[in-house]
Amino acid sequence: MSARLEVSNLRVAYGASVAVAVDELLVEPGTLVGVIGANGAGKSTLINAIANWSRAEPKISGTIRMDGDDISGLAAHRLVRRGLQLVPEGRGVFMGLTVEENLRASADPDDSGRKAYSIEDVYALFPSLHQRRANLGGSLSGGERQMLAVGRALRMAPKLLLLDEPSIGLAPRMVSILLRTIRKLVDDGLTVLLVEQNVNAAIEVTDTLYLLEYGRVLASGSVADMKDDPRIIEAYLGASHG
Amino acid sequence: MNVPQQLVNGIIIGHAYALVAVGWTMLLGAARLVNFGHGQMYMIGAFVAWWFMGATGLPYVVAVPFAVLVGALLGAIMQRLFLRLTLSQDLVNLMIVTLGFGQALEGAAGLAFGPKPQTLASPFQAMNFHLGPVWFTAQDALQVIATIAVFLALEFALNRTSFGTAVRMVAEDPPLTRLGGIDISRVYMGIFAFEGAAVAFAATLVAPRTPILTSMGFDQVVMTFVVVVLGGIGSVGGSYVAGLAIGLFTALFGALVSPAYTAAAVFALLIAVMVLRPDKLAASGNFAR
Repeated sequence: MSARLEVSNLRVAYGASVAVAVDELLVEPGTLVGVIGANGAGKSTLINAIANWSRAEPKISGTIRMDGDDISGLAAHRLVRRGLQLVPEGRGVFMGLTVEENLRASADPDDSGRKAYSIEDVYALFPSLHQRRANLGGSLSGGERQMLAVGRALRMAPKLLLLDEPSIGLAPRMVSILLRTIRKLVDDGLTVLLVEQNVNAAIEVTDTLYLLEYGRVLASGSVADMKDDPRIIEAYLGASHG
Repeated sequence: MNVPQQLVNGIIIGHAYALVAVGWTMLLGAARLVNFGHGQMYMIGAFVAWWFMGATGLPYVVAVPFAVLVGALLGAIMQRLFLRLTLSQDLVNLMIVTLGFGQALEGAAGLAFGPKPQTLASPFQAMNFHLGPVWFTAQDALQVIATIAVFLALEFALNRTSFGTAVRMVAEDPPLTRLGGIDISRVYMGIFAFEGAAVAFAATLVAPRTPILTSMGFDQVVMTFVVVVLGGIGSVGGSYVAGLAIGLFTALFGALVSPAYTAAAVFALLIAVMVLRPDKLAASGNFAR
């Protein structure tokens, strides 16, 4: 159920403006890798480009490999069927569909050997969704929507899950529940690339971190090493962590 | 005034409006596409059925599915032509190109079928029913029943099938639909083909009442536009109610005032609703209900 992701020489541009220039990014199978950085650092642009998905139409170049296969330029819906699943920032659910319809609404994966979560599996992971299964996506709280978005992604049997700011707008308790659930999925074998502005929360669950600034990787390494990096302490963790 | 007869007339006309509008409503609700070529597609449906009967000698009931098939193909061609504009939601250009598409269809139909009025002969048009003070034809009854069946089938398809769910997803958020592993160009193909098939089906049922002309498309598009807008701009159920309401209004206004001013009165009604209740006209997030 795990996948290895290798990104090389990725460039994402909107017109003449280069938003992301990442020479190398690696996600080993069964690990949780975090991408952190300030607002506008290019985190969402990076993760969307890996999934070849965007509401705008940026120009993307570079090589993206999943388990050694070059998947650069494949359409977003084909990547989903091959096991690369993005949960985008903000609106990852359909407001006009019920919770149950949201969970049913997906194509079958290309490889039937991959483990797709059943709707019951998703309800077991997020019990509050079961109580609200007949409610419209638009009537859910922010936390419930994020759970539903992750649940939708799991229904499509991902090998590699890309999560864009799942904690945004959530209460601290909800952030903790969500990230612990994601960590549990990784411990069960899923590979996850997590974009997160909440660095304190990301450090609690990730194995490896990439620090992005102005679209470039400023630093990367294991969480243990990165926690002691003065650039991260100064910018994100505050003096008390030093 | 024979009130029961006018009410029956209104119900028949109203169902005709609703049936002609249903494809456009789907296109607008799911693809956000204002298709000003809709009336000419109606005209093509009627003429294809007429031509098929003349060329093959086969009866009306065989010409109907043939015209529906040609309508679906025409819709599929539209999808190929307009997909990029649809995806980018370039609405002004879409309006212009669909208007141009309609004019091109009208010109092609003029060349292919000639300028003379023709009659799409249905055997059901000659079968009359008299129930007390009320009179109608089998064609009228068939058209009302078919309209109700189409709307019920559409309601079922949108809310109870996986393709219907995909259509509702595309209607709400096309980019997000891709992340469900769904190829949205195929969903759009289904929507456009339905638009073409539905308007051709409507033409084969409604057109036998009057002579058909290759120039009749624009008149059709005008009244259908009113139905689509008053129905809630892309609401399937709303377009049925709006079609029926305008049909009844048309019949009663024609009988009480004058048929000559009916179109003007319908547009006055449209303006009044748009000015007084614009909030009710916005396309809702759940067009399928």
